[in-house]
Amino acid sequence: MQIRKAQLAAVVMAGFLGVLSSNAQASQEFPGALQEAAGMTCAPSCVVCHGVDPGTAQTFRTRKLGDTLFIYNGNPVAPHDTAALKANYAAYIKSGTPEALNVQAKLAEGIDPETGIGLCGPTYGCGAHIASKAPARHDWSGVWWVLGAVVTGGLLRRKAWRKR
Amino acid sequence: MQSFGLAKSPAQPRAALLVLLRIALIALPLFALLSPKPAHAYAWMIKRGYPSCPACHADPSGGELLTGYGRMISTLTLSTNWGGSDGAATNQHGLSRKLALRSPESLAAHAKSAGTDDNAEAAKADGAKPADADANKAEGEAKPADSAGAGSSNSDADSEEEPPVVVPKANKASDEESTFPNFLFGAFKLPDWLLLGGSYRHMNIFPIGDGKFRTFPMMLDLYGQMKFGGFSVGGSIGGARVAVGSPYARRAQITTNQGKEWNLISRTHYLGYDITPEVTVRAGRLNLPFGVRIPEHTMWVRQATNTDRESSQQHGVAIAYVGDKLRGEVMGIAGNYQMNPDKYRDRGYSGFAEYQFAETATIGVSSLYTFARADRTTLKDLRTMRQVHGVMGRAGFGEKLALLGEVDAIITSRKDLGYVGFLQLDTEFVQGLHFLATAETLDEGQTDPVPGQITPAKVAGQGKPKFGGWLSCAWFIYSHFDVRVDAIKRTGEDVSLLAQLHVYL
Repeated sequence: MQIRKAQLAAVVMAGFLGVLSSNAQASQEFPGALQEAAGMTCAPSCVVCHGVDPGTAQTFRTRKLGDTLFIYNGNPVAPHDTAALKANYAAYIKSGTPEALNVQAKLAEGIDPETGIGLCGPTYGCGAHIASKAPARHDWSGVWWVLGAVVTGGLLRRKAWRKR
Repeated sequence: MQSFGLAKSPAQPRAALLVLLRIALIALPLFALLSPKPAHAYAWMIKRGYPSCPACHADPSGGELLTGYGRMISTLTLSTNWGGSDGAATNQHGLSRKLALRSPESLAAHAKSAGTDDNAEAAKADGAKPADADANKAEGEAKPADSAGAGSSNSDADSEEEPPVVVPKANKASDEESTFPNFLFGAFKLPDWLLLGGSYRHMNIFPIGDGKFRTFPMMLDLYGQMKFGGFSVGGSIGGARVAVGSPYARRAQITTNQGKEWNLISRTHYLGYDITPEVTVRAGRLNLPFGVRIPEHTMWVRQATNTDRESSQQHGVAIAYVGDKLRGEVMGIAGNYQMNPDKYRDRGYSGFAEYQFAETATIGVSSLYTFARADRTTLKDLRTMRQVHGVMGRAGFGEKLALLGEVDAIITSRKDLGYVGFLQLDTEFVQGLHFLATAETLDEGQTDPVPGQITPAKVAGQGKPKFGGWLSCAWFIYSHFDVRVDAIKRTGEDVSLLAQLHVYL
């Protein structure tokens, strides 16, 4: 009986925390946001703005790009505010200054506009590498491969079954 | 487009192999000389007289996959005792006797398939005391090579255990309950050669200051180990979805999505062989043997040394020794082959040795040396060496208090000398309910000035010390379930309030 109470307590606690849950998130959104804004093939290393990877709140303005985008035209970028970062980047590029155009061109090539070093750091997964061009936005090839394998397997099985 | 093929390791340099061999030539005799022993998932278990890990974990240095015995311990001594009795001495399933009979010494050597309920059940069927059956198993299987070791201590314990424990008649309810700690809440009865487990950790981060509420699955893993005689094969597989640029989960990826998509991950996978009951050699992707094996992977002492169990594992070969008073493990690191390109892979060694100088007190040393062809923190193609060397200690004061600590020196190419340390007090005045207070400090060292560039300023954590304080409450509610709340304040950061749920299969 006592143990039933324990089980009940465990389930209630699990339920409570489960209800609070929604989708997965983490806090390192800015590289992804910059990748999107600048049309890069990889998410740039934190180095581009922070000088080091991982960057912290204390290192955000150590590089020129980070310092420029942090507050542009009086629009500050708050923690996790990727929209503000994208807006600042767009406004910076729109300014059309030679410096901004250089940043745009270099980032598109995956190069640090300040140091000329490649910004595509390590990639993860077995055999992963940075491709020369971005993947198609809606690449269904994986799904077709799986479906093809399932259909082929089914046909082979059917053939074997008929032979019996 | 990303490649999904297997990594073609570019002619795995003979030189690297030679270096590994050289390291092995030096490290192995040193290892044998120093005769090292264990690291822990819940290192504070030392206060209950469990200074070592392999009795409860498949990993000889602790963490993740539980043995049958570990599951039993989790229920009897780790989780809150809802029965209202005084714990191990009065368990109604015959499990108490196992605890009484297994001294920590016997735990050290007995390991990986210990403590299934089969023994107790078989003993019941035979009309014998389950404890005796277990003692026989401990003597017969645990330390065949050491007649004066655990076996004798078991015998001693047996002779001291008078009067004999009377096994209560099992009723239907107790039979049902006794299987609950087993895999999948007792739904399956696994054979002795197979260990299976899984973990789901859900994290909630509450907003304080400018932050926003965040909730995400922090861990979603299945793990297992098969053992055939002295040979074992095991590993973990799971899923993770993290933001682009996240330092978490990425290094354990199997699939190659680099964005915010789900990825299949494997933190560990290995082949192992028990050379003797005390010595195990494993090859594969393994937890780095270093320091106190705490579960808090974001604590600086694990994160800044890249020795956490979140995704800092590396491929390599490790040899672990678990003796009566001494335990340890040393690993030759071949690099993380789930990260590309090769120039970023760390190679070298990592190891620790820990000596148990009192029943509930240990002291140990750890050492790590790695080098890579490029600097992952700046992306520059500069050969980068990283060394971490330190001391650690664990002590239990009765069954209610435990103190853990570690201090390490950090030596990195093109940086000043750095250091990291932590001290954690664990209190458990009610079984299963832990209140923890932790202090930590970190200074990774100031980056050396580069000619022609501005000298980087000293900031907290890089040239100046930064400090952190944790107040935590962990409640092991019941077998398979625990919850934890942490309030963390670190130099230059807002207070973080974390709440997590952990369910293991």
